[in-house]
Amino acid sequence: MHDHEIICREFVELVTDYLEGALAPETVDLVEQHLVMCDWCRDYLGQLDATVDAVRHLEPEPPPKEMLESLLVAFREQAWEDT
Amino acid sequence: MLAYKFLRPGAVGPFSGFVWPAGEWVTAGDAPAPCRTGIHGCRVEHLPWWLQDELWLAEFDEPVEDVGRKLVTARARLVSRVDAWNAETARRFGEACARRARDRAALALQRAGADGAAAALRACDTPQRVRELARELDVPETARISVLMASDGARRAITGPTATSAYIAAHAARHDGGPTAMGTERRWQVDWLVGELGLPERAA
Repeated sequence: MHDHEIICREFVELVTDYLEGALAPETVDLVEQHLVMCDWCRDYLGQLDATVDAVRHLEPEPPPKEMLESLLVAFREQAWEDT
Repeated sequence: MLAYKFLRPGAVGPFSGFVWPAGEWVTAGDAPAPCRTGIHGCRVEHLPWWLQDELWLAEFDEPVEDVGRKLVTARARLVSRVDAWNAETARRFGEACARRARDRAALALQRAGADGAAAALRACDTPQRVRELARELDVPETARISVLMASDGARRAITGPTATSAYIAAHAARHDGGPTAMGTERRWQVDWLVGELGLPERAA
């Protein structure tokens, strides 16, 4: 019997990949074992899931014009230095 | 093959929210969301990791894959509920786990030379009393973590979830005796469940 069980700190590191379905099945197994017994991490997952869901429905806002121009200048200068 | 499946009240999947229709075959791809990666259950030796309100015996269609402490299939049906697993047995199991953590803490106190505190802790016959005493005790540093774990185990025996009581008892064992002790503790939990619920040792 392997004895590894993840702790809350490890769960927090894995939670984004868990929500995105990007974890290996063995790691999903460990994450879900942790969720069965840890109501704090279950709440955290629920909050994160709700946040991701809410943000997904927001219209993307363009950056302010001044910021866009300064970024373009910075990118051009960087590109010039790289040549 | 037969596998065990823990569900929330009303035969609801704890992760998927899927409501299992007892007796009907469910295919992972057809149902609204049985699970992202298939239908999951477990073998008897992995029951303590997955404790929920309802325990069911389920028939898993082949092929069945072992993944960590899970069994995974694409098609399954609930066969029968294990009625012996209920709120009362869950409470008794949680308290049994809490007593194990309490006794490890008492041993740690004894090793630290605090024989009186060890005896007082052993004499606590309810989780509530363990919680109260843990707050009152003057605990030597070398026994501090063990006593904290005993107190947390007692709290979870009172509030649940039951799986947390089992987890704390296992980690109290690890703190005391390393990975081997943790494995032994988990096997003790399996034996308790098999014995108290009258489960066949090798249904899955």
